[in-house]
Amino acid sequence: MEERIARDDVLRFLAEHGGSAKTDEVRSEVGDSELADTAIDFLTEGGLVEGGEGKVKLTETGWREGREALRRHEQLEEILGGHSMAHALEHLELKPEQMMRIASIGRLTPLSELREGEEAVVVFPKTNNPRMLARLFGIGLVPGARLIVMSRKLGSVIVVVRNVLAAVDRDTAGLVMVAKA
Amino acid sequence: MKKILLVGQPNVGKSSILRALTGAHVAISNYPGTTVDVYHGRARMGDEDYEIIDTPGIYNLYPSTMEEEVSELAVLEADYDAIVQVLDATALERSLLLTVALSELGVPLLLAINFWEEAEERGIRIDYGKLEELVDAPVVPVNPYRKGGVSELAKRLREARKPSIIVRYDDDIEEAIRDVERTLPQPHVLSKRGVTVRLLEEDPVVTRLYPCERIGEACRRLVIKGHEPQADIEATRAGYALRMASQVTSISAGRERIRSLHVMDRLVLSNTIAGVSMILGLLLLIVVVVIYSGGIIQDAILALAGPPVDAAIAASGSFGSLVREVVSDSLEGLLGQYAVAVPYVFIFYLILAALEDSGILSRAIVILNTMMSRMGLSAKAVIPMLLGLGCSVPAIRSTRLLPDREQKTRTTLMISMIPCSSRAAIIFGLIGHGLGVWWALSVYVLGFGLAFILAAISRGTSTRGMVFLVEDLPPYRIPRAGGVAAKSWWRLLDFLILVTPLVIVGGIAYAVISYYGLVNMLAAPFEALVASWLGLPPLAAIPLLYGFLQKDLTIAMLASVLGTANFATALTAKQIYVFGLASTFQVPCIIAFGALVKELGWRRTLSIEAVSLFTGLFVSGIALRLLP
Repeated sequence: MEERIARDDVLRFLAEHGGSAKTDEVRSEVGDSELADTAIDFLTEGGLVEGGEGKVKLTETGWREGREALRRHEQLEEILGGHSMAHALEHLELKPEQMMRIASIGRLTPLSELREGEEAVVVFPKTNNPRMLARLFGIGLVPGARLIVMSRKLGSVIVVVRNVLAAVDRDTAGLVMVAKA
Repeated sequence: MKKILLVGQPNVGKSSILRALTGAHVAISNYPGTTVDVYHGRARMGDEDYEIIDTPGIYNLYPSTMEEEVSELAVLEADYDAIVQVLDATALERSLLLTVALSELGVPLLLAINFWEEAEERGIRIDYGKLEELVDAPVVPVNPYRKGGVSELAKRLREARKPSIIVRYDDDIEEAIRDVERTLPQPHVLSKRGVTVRLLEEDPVVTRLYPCERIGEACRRLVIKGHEPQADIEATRAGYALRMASQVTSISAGRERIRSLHVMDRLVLSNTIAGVSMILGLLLLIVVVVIYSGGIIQDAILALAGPPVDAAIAASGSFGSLVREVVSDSLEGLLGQYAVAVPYVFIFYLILAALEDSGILSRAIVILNTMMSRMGLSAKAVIPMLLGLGCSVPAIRSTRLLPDREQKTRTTLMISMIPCSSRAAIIFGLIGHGLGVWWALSVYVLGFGLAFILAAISRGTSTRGMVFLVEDLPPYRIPRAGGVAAKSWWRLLDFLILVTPLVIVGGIAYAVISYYGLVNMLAAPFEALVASWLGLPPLAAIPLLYGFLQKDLTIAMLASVLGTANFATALTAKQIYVFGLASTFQVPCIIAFGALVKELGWRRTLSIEAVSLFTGLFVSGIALRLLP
């Protein structure tokens, strides 16, 4: 999921900047050089961007994708992870201005780092363990769900999500990416 | 007869509904092809007979424990006329996630909404008519604890039908669905599209039931296009559930949502000292109540059933001495099992059910999680361990609530170090009597210590991050006596069904072995080891070996080989302690062995037995050398 957002970020950033930019600029936009480089490599392989001499450039297909990414960005979908997730967000418990704030912050925080009393919206769980993913979703920690941290003692994070009290151990909570509301 | 499957999330009240529909007539059996039990009962509703099958609680159709796998399997095998999904009105959206997943599979459905009164108290109003319209299947609010609280459900059972919810996914996923659907044969009852979507999620149970060659390629293509099939599909489903919930729920102003923790939770979940004290208090309470009241019931059963058993044994004497031996050993074994293990196990089940229904158990699991996860174990492993204080057999059975085979095996290894109630007889009868109660208690401390050491050692291979805690904490509720009693009774019945044939087989084996004097022969090769490593009289190998057949017989056999029941005259204090250790930390009895084979298969069972035998001998020998 993180890689996917990074790829979208690269395409959108290039589309915003007339189709090409310095690799370093792209890296600082993504916020994580390693992630940015992986994204660029992936996009180069897919024929969406061309690289060389510290610069990255959109190809013709890349332009199409870039504009699409830009459009999605405007709708704030990309921060919540690609268009499939958008279905889940039709009734997001957020007001437009709150969504704008998330966009302006643009930084995701792991659930484990929230303090008691802080509110946030689930963006995505960063896990490859299907059982864990199914369990998180099953308990209500789905993209778009708003939560409040009630306690973080005893090695677990206790949250209220969708009117249900739930406990997530701190390691797992570190994988649940949220946006502070 | 029509078949109904009860499906729903944990703590949603399925078993209460089963009880309300069927009365007390509930039976237990293995779900075909698995070792997981399901409860089922019969009821006549209208002019139709129904068989109602309860399945283990499941959050999401994608399984995260072995029990949940059975629930999914039951849904997918589609051997029923309808599914009744029990929903929680206080957390409707989460329940609807399962509704959407079931609808997608195209199963005939009826939705039973539980806890609706509690939801109304909390200001949550649900428009049942609208929900019925949206799902296009009957929706019935129920209260299983009130007379007539399920009559509407019984009346509308025949209206159960395939819901009309169709989940639309992202274009790429839709393309993959079309592509795979073409090659998939039409499944029995289930919707082809529904099965295809689950295949794309790489759901392990569906993949096993509907193997499809094209899936690998389809998933790979989705990944190349930047999708994460499982996450995308589940998120989309969650979106539908969220939308439906918001369309049918209204929340009174000012009472929106939980804003603060319950006063109990503020104490136990927000304060480390209070939380840990609660756990220690609970554990102490369980041990004290189980051991004390277990003893009282045990005496009562022995007084009541002893004379008729003796009479039956005496009567069997007329058929020859082998028959008499077989009857005597089987019946005495049964009496021992029923009198010694059953009271402990039943009382533990009562406490467990009360803790479960009150919401305390989920809190205890959260608090214990930190400690248990350090050993790579799920916090739920505490339940089998405590149960092991009563009898290893139900403890071994209850490891099914753990997420995978590895955890199951490791927890079973730990159980083998926990003294069961039969071993308590050795510990208190021999060590407690001879050396004092503190020496007896030291065996328990050593047992739990060894269990955790074995867990820590076996942790090596387990991957980090595989053990995770994601649990809901249901609101505190006062447990209903009827519900608690029924649940405990069902579980006890399950235990008895498993253990009775094993005890009889064990009794027969024991009778034959002792009739032909085989024990002495079998014990002979161990005598040297017993004498040199354990420092015991060589003949002590015989009672140790008898322990495998039946732990309760150990003391009687020791008295028999020593020629006295006054052990202090024949053994030194150190020898008494070492013998107590060696007979406690040993291979579990033959009944537990049978349960182990059933649960884990021969290979794992033999490894567990070997490890526990070695550990027991090692510790006893070390104790001999270290003690003054």
